[in-house]
Amino acid sequence: MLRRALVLAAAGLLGCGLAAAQPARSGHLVTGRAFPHLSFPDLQTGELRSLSAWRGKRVVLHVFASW
Amino acid sequence: MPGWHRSLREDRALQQRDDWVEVGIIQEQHPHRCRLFMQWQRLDFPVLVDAWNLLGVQVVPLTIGIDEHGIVRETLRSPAAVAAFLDRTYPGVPADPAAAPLVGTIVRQELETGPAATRPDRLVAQLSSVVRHYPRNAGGHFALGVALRQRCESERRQPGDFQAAVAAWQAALDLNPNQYIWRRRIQQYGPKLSKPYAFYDWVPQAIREVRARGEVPVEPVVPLTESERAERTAFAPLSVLVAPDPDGRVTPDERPLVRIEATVVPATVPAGGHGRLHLALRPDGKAGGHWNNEAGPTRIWLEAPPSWEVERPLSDLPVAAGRAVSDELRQTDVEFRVPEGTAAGGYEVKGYALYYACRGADGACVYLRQEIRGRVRVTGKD
Repeated sequence: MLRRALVLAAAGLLGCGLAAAQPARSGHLVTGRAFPHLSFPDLQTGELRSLSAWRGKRVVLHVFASW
Repeated sequence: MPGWHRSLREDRALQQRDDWVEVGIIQEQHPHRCRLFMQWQRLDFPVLVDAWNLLGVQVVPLTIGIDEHGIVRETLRSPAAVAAFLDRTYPGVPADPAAAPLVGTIVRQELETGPAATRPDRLVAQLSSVVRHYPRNAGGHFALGVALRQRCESERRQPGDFQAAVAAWQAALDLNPNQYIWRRRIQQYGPKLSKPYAFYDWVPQAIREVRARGEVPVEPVVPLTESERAERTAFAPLSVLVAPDPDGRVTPDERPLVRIEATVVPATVPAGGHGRLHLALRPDGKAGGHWNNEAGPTRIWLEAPPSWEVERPLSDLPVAAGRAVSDELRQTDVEFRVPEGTAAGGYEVKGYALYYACRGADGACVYLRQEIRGRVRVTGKD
């Protein structure tokens, strides 16, 4: 757990200072394309939510797992 | 775990802005574990559950910047990158959301419509249909595995659901061996040496620390298997053990009062490789079965074919403390090793369970034996 946190923190530090935008491409997340029209259960409530709920704001999206 | 989450939340300049939100999407089979993680780490941003990996992401963690029109803009690797993303100007062209992939559409329809009670059956049926019609739809195979495992944990469970889930995940991975998320799902339940690290070793520490703060930790809806807690350590079989019922003298549970499901992960093991046999034991309510907690633990004895090794042939599964009878799931998983040079083919890791059970909460309590069989397919060495 801590080992992973350190690796990730180090990865974050390596990224510091990079001025140019880093393109995204992983599965259906592709730079320049709209976020897919998908709904997911909310972790706390179980209700279906879509990212469009936050339309009008910039979204910093963390795709992660607790393992 | 994600150090930059905390960095973002501690960055005063970012915190003073109200033109952005932090949102999480998790790629986990059991989301309640992430709820515990969020509670432990005092993270409170909204998190959505993509257990089926409908986004198709290949790795985690990953932080993505999405603009105010819903367009994916960039990968963010640090708080500085987040600040730069928030300051950047993008063309103000509102975008229609990209069409959802087929599997995503099906899962969404099933989540939005129909009674929740039968949802596990509908998801399995729909996704089975997808892979039948599109056998090279790797995401469909993976999502089917997720749906099968979800059904296995529900009241709608069918015998063989977990084994079928493992087969579906393997089919997905065979089609796309570079998919890290799919590989993790098999490793989660698989042998110790297949793991990059212990997956949920943080859970006991999280529960301790949350309790120490005076809070009630999020309950684990699905108990952790031993495999999910296991360290990446060497295979170390115990050898000096005596079978508890070598001559089969304990009464067989023929009706039975307890249902036992055996699942091998991975479903196919190369000669020289390792696998894990998962056992799930549940009293059968329809047969009036209950655990009798006043007599002793449930014992599991496992044997493998000659020259194979089982790491822990004898296991005791504890009773539910403080209750005379109970109906809880009892589970264990045990690693085995297939020797080098084993011929390809079908084999069995087998044994038996010995348990105290009662018919009806006030009925007769007996000591019973039930045979266990885990089928292993051995392939040529990778």
